[in-house]
Amino acid sequence: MNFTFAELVQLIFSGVALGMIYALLAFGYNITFSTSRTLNFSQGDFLMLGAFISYTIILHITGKRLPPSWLVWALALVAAATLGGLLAIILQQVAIKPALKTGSDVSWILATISLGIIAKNVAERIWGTDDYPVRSPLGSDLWSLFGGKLNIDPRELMIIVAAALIMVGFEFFRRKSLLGKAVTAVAADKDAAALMGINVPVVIAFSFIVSCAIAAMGGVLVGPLTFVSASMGALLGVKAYAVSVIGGLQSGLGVIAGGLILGLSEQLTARFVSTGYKDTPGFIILILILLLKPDGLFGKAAVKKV
Amino acid sequence: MLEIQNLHVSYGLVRALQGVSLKVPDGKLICVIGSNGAGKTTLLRTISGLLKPTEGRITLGQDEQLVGRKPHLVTRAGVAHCPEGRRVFPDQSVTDNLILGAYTQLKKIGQAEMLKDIENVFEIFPRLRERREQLAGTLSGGEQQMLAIGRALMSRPRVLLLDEPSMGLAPIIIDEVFKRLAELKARGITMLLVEQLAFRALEVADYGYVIENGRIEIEGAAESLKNDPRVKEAYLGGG
Repeated sequence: MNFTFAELVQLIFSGVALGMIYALLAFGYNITFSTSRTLNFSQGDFLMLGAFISYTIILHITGKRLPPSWLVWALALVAAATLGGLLAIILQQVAIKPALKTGSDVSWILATISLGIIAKNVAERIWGTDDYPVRSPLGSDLWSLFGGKLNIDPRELMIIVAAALIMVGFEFFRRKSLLGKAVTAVAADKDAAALMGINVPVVIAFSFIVSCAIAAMGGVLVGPLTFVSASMGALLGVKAYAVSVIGGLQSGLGVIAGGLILGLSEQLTARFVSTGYKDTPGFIILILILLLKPDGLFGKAAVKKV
Repeated sequence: MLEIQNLHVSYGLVRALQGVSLKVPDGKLICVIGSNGAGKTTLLRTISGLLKPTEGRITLGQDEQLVGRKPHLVTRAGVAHCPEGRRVFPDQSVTDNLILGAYTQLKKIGQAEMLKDIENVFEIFPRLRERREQLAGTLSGGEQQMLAIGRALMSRPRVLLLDEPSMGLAPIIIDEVFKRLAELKARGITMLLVEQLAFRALEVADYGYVIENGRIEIEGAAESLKNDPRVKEAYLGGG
């Protein structure tokens, strides 16, 4: 055996960080699916745009050599979320609203995928097709714990903490605020929600704004770890969709479990089997879940109480 | 006062309402009785904007025209609709359901007034107070009906529409529901009640309409309808 316990812990830590990124994107899928039964298949490209925004802001204010200050990083995060939210309004108007009117599933699927392709092409025009490194405010030196026995990557730690804060924060908002309660009500029963005086289309638009803003913030988090490129979003978006299905599209925080399953299986397979096969177990799990428990691990089955 | 004039509604080729006219004067409880599929639910869904009429007028108060308004704006205008099958929000607590009922009011009246309204609903339906933190989906059918009515009251409606509050409930619970409706009437709440249980509805109502195949066939004071031989034969089954 040529690995140590410390190495295993680090692997798990990396898997958790990766899983939290998937979970964050999947969380966004779930928000819009719950309110509108549609989702934004260009979620990964919103992540990519968020990453590029943070790259550009940090490059212009801080430069290449130093890690950005927390203030600059926070500015990048807010800018990414704002851009994500604004673009979400366009996406919602162009791709989702017409589809909800006609009730055609094909049209929103194709329209959101198309907008993702357009976003990727625009990014390639602006930033080119290269990979760019972004600095994290925590730097990139590993943190040594237990006298050097255990090394963890601060960028991964930041992903885990920030993604958890974003998801728990939104769940808190959903439970405590009036608008949040309205989101849950629209998810449960649109007609009944409208009878409460809730403007249902506005709540659906709001859910897309939140979902896309979260994806863009995901890009700010993942950028320092993976490099930023126009093509970074596509595969992440697909895997996050798998996570969404594994956890259950209606499951709230079930996506965290889904994300961890995929993230850990990737890291462990890459280390102990082969990097070439790292995506295989996750998708095998996906297929098994679709066969055995189509509502996902934590999804609600469509049972109605009369 | 809610006034409906010559209302026509179609589902494709099926004509669900064919020129319905009725009046709901302030402070009165008006009932519309009729069998399954006669158009009762269609009538209420059209009033609250969930369905669009092909023809007709729905006037609230002096001259507020409701036809063509989106459902949330009809609610905002003061029409609360307690829908068929109760439709409470199952994953949210009883209190949250009531807060959502006050969605149009909260900004206007503020948190403190809204909490008073919730207390008010708890006074009318004491069972809801006991269950305030429970998820609405875990309530019994009767409790869900009370919650649905309470939730509709939270919007401080000028007119309350009630769609078959007896549906799927045990007779003893139905008794309780109708007792509460009588209490609401005593408090001066204007109501339009749609019911299959004709006798029960006529017991609490001031005035009634009988709807058949999308048309109002008979109307009159509730007392006289109860004794009308045509109504007796068709809906009361001698009971």
